[in-house]
Amino acid sequence: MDMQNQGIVKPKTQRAKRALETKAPKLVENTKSALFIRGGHTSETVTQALKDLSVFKKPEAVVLRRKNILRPFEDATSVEFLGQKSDCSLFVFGSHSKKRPHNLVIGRMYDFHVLDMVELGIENFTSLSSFKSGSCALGSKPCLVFAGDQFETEVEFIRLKNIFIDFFRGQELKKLALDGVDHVITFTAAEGRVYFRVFQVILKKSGCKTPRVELEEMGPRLDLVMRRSHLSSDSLLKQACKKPAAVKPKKVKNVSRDSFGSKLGRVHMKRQDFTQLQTRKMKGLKRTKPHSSTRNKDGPHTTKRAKLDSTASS
Amino acid sequence: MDVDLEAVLEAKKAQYKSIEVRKDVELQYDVGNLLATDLNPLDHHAMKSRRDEYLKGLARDNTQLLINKIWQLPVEKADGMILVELPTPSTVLPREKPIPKPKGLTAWETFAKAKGIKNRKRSRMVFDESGQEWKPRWGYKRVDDPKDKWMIEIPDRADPYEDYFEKQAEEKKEKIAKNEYKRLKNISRTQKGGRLKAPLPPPLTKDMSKYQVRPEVTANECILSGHPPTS
Repeated sequence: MDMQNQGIVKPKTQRAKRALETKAPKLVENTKSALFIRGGHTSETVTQALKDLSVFKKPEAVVLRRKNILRPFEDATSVEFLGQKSDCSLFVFGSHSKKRPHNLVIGRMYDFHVLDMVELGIENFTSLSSFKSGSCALGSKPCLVFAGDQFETEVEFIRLKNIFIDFFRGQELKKLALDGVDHVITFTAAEGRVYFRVFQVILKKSGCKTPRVELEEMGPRLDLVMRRSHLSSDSLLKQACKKPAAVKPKKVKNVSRDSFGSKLGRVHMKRQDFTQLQTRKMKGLKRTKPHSSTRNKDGPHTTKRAKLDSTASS
Repeated sequence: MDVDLEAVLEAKKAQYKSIEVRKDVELQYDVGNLLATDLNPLDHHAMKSRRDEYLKGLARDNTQLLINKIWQLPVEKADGMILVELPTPSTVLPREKPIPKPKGLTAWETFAKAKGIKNRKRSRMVFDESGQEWKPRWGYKRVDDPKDKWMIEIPDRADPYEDYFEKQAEEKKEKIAKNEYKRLKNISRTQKGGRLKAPLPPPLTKDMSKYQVRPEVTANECILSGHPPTS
């Protein structure tokens, strides 16, 4: 709908024009924003969990204050609508019911249509505020650590790992300040559960350049159990992952590096007639006509006879 | 002498804790995303008996390995900060919006391209002969501001009862409407989905106001029919 209206409704102010430009599809995209939605009924655990998780997404987080009576798994269009309005492609929907206590639905969208949605139940929760020690700078890029072979073997967990990376990675940076590495988010998968832990990274002297790492738990602490999931088809995911041709690094042809690291180039030449090559003129190498001073007129085989021999023989 | 030096270094190193971590299976790294994946099997007994301690220890080891990798990257110093150049992320993640399609050229752009006409930038200030000063070409106190045109010279043969000011205003409205119509037509031609319905036969009128959009007719309808709206 919006795509159609592009250009038809011309913005009247520069501010509106800039707003439209930030929301428009681009070759190199903005950092994904996340939408935190509270469901019809929520528990203390869920609301606190949503608040705590939003801290790790700020400033790319939109936290909705009112309760929204939605059922993402039954009807995803409401979530899509909210995402479109706030320009967020990631969402976390928290709710609580007898059947699904302390429920979190974490999902992502492509073109504001739900791509993947995973329902997780919170079994144990310890809030950020309970951890007195440990803190991190707002908006800093987290280190992400995944442990447990379930993240590599089970389909749902593989996708969940991808969702977590997409969600928590933050801005894509080209350069990182070494002081800015201040917290790590760890996901450990065991027996169908994911243990979500966040630690503050304290770098200590180690006698060499690379520091010794010490961790201080800063929360929140979540034990999540996998419930339902609604994953996209592989073809749709493939389409969504396509990289635009303009962004791909251009391949340089005919240049290679050997095992020593020296740069080698390949030059393609036309066929050359080596007899007709134009080389530098060197006068000494020029072919001259036979000269009397160096050679005998009689022929090559006659030798000089000494005058003494001729007189001796007679 | 060498032995003494080594002993001193060893002693110094023993002061600090080691940065080495031993793992059965190497971790998989995506340093561009500051990501490390540990494929080693978990100690399930430890998970049951002392879970939090075990998870913290595991996290520390894995983070140490990741930090080791980050510290190996090429370093540069800027503004008193030590920066490290991150490689491109290797994890394949989906985009949030589709890849934008290149916009089509407008009618003028295609003509200019064919003819080789290049856009020349015009200066902001223009010299005004009457006032003998530099005035902006557009905007506040511009050169051809309608406020300054309090008089219109008309030839002898012209109709004395016609309101020429009103005529000027009408002409201005026509220009704007025509420009808007052409803009929308360009969009309907170049963008997919711009033209949806089959075109209706256009009623041709010699009346100039054919380009004027009726207040009821919205921009969308203009696009949908693909033809100038009837006035």
